[in-house]
Amino acid sequence: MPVREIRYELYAGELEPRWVRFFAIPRFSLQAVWSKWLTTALLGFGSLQLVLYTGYLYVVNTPVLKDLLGLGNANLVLGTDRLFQSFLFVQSFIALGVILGAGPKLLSPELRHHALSIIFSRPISRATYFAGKVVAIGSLMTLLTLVQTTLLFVVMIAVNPPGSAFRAEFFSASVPAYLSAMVYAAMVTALYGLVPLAASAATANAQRAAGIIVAIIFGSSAAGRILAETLDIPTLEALGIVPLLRNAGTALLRGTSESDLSPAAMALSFFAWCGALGWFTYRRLRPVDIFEE
Amino acid sequence: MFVELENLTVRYGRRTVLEGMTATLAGKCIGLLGPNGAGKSTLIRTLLGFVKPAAGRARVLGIDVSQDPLAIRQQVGYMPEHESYIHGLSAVRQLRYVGELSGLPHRAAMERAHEMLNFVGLGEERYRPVETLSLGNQQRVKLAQSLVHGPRLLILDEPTNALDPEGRQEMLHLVRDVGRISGSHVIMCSHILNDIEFCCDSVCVINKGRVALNGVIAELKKEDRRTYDLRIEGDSERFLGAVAARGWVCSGNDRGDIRVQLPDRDDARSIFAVAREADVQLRHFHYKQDTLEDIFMNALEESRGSAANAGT
Repeated sequence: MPVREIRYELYAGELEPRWVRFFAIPRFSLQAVWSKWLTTALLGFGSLQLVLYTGYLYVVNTPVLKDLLGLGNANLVLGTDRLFQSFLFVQSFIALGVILGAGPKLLSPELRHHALSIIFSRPISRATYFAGKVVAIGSLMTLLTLVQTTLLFVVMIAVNPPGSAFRAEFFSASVPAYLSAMVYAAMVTALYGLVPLAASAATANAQRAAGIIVAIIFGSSAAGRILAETLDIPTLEALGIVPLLRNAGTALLRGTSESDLSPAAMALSFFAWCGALGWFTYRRLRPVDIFEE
Repeated sequence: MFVELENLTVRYGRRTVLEGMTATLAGKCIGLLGPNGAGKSTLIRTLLGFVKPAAGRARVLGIDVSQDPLAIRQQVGYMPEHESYIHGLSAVRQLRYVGELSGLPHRAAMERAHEMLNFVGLGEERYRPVETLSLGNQQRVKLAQSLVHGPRLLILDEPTNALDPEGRQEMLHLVRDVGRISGSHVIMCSHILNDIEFCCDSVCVINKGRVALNGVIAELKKEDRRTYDLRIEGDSERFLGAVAARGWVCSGNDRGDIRVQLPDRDDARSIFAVAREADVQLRHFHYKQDTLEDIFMNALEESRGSAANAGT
């Protein structure tokens, strides 16, 4: 029987540059998140809306199908801006479901099982690890918002006939509407990405982290509404994440605001939220034994 | 020497944890000893670059911890004291992950992960999530992850924590093998003096944030040539009576072990004379040698004494 001595030897191979190592963080984080059936189901559900919109656009741009469905000459064409707005409004709710399912798993289990001690004993800085986690949740959100928006725009280009309003006003209306939708999608991605990151960094208990996500999103909205009404300063409604995103979407895509929120107030609130959530998460990313000092 | 400390002071807020610590740690495997709250864990965190010194300098493998902590962590492996794993990942995937974080290419990280798990003796369990493994196997995974990138310095914080006697023996042999076979240095932090004695050739005792003792264990184990450890066969009562008659300080236990301290006027030959007189056989005869426990306790006492003197 062959006998082989198992012994420890130093690693003598090549090392990857630092920027390559960075990608291991989102890759392994996403793999952990992807295995959760709820997240997978919600991501699948997130693509369902695109399928429905594709069917709708195909029907309204195909007279034969319209006749077959008994829709006759009814004008069912929605403006590109309105289409993007309603699409992203629903997508942001699906994104909320995804962050409730996957968000708490981003950092809470690592805090609970002291994983940061072994992760930070590697040549990885806090900033790199933070960026890796942002990329992980950001790519999930991007799949639901930016990618879906782009796919919807591609579908619009494909199914709208040459003489349609969409094609006729392509550079004057359609492309600007798409770009506005992308800005709105990026806002949803940033806020809905940073909220679960901060919530999961706040506690080692994943269920509590889910509660914190709900509290931040809906609590801030309720608080903003109450403050705005009590102090009679409508701008304060921008403190709430839901009204902020809803009004920003309307302002970007329709050029109007549902309430009296100024673009400056919305921009200020957005960057303040991103800064606060990012700063809080970054501060919490430490080897846990140091945390306990 | 792989660690140099120069007047190292570390504070958490207003609390000074390490104060003016100066030492050089050398040898293959060094044991870090000290009572609870002495500053061992803080020293480890400082060496890893987790904590910045408030004053003084610490150099690990020639690199200043304040200047380039990432370069230090590239060459250092750390096994934490408490449970530490990435929930949901199997042992092999966890090792691959930390290997890639250390800069190993994908394939090399996977190969090293398997090699290290073979080294620590983890079989098919390596494909199970780490949280489902026994405590002993979790300790093995922690050791394997600290080795995966081939560090030149390995820092082990209580490696035998929560292990049964068999698992403890296996872990100690693994640690000793790492220190002896490879070119790596090992710093082992433990409360169990036997573990330190088994694995380490040097010891550094810390007390109240200062180095109380630092040296090679074999050199620290002083022989006391006025005190002898004896074991006799025969009438021990008669022997002890003869010893007492000569006015020697003597103590014994139920197992027949006797410790005799001779006055300056007598020497070792006197013991044989007394044995002949009492008609007993001497089965064991040796100078008293300090144990690691003696060394540790003496270092603590001296450290307390010098601290008290400094206070007055």
